Amino acid sequence: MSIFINAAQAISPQQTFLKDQLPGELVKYDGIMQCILPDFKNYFSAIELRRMSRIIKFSSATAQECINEAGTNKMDAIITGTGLGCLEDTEKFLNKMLDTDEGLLTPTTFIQSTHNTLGGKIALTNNCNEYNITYAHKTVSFESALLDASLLIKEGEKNILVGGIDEITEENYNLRKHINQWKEEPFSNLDIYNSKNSGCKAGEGAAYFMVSSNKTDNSYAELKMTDIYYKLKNPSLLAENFKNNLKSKTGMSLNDIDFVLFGFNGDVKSDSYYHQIKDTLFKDQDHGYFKHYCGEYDTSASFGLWVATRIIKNNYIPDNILIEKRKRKNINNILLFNQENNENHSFIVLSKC
Amino acid sequence: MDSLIKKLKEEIIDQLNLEGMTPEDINEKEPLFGEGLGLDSIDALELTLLLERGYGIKLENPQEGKKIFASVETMAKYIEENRK
Repeated sequence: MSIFINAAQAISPQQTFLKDQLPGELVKYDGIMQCILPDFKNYFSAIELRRMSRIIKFSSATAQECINEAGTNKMDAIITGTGLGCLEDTEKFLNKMLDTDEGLLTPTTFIQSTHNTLGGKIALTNNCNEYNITYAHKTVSFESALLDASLLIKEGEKNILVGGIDEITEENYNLRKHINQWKEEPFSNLDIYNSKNSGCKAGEGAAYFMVSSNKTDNSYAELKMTDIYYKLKNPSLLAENFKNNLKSKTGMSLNDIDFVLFGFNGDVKSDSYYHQIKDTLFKDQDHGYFKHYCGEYDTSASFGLWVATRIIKNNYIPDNILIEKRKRKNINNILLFNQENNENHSFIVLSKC
Repeated sequence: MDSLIKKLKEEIIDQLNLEGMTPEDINEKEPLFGEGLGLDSIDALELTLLLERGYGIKLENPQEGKKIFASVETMAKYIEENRK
C-alpha cells in the first residue's frame, strides 16, 4: 500500500504560508524566531477568535488551508503531534493557580491548555467525528503522528490529516535560557550551520499534511518510510539500523537517496551527530538543512517535511538550503533526518511520484 | 452606577477576550446571552468568577445567574446591592 502526501501547508517564521516554493530570501532573527502570521479574521469569526490562543489560531489556519488544498474535508482521522501543546494558555492557567492560591480558576484557559485542543478544534470546524489523537512525545511527537497515519493508511483508511505544531512564549524562552538551551543574543538564524558553540535558536511553527492512499495530479510525494530510534550508542549503529530498515521497508539502498535534509540547529553537541552521518553514510549525496528557516522546537521535523515536499515537487534546492555544491542532477528520493543530542532520531523518506 | 457599568464593560471585554470591542460597543440594556453579545455557558462561568474575584460576591444559587447576567445593567445593579 502506497502513501501519498496530497497537501502540505506551513506557517513558520519565514514567508512559507500558501507558498508553492521555498523563499529565496530569508527573514533574519537575532533572537526568538516567531511565526509570520496571516490575518486570522479571514479564517475565523470574532466570536471564534476570542477563545483561540495564538497557537490554536496558527494551527487551525494552517490545517484549514491544507484541507482546502487537498480538496476534501472528509478525513478518516486527524492526528496531531505537539511537544508542549498550547503553552501560552498552560502558562496562563498555571500562573492563575499560583495567583489565586489554587482557587477561582477560569475555565477558558484550562480548556485551551490541553494538548489535544489543536486537533479538537480542526475536528469541530470540519464536523469530523473520526479518529482524533494527539502525540506529545517530545522531539518525535510529529514523527509518531506520521507513523500512526501511515499505519492507518495501510489498514485501509483513505485521507488523514497529520500535523506538527508548537509555539514558543517569552516565559518559556526565558526559563530555558537558564539551562543554556538557546544561543546568546544576538545570534542570527542565518549563521546556525557555521556555529561552533552550544545552544540553538528558539522557534515555532505549524505544518499540516494530507496523507492519502490515493495519488492525485497534485500529490507532492510518496511517503516511503518513517523510522524513529530513541537513543543509540554510536552513529555507526544508527547507520546500520537505518540501512537495514531502508532496504527491508522500501527496497532502496543508500545510493538511491539523492538528497539528505538534516536538522542542524547550531548546537555543536547535537550537530556533531549530523556531521558524522553526513560525512560517512551520505558522503555521495546532496546535503541541506532547514532550521535556519524555523528555529528549534519539538515538532520542527514537520517543517522539515514541508521543506522536503517543496524540494521534491519542484526538483529544486535553493542555495539557502544547500550545504555544498550539488552532486546530483535530479532529486527522486529525499531523506529527512532529525535528532536532538543523540536522542529521538527520526528518518523520513520521500520519493517522487 | 454609570461608572460601575463602564468598569464592568471593560472587565467583560478583558475577561472574555472580546477582541476589537470597546465599552461603547456594548449596550448595557441588551441581553448578554443568546442575542446581544451572544455569550455561552463557558462565559457564564467566567462572569461568575468575575463577580467573586472582582467584587467578593459568591453566587450561592446558580439559578440566580440567569437573572443577574441578563444584561450589564442587571449585573451592575446586583453588584451595587450585594458587594462586600
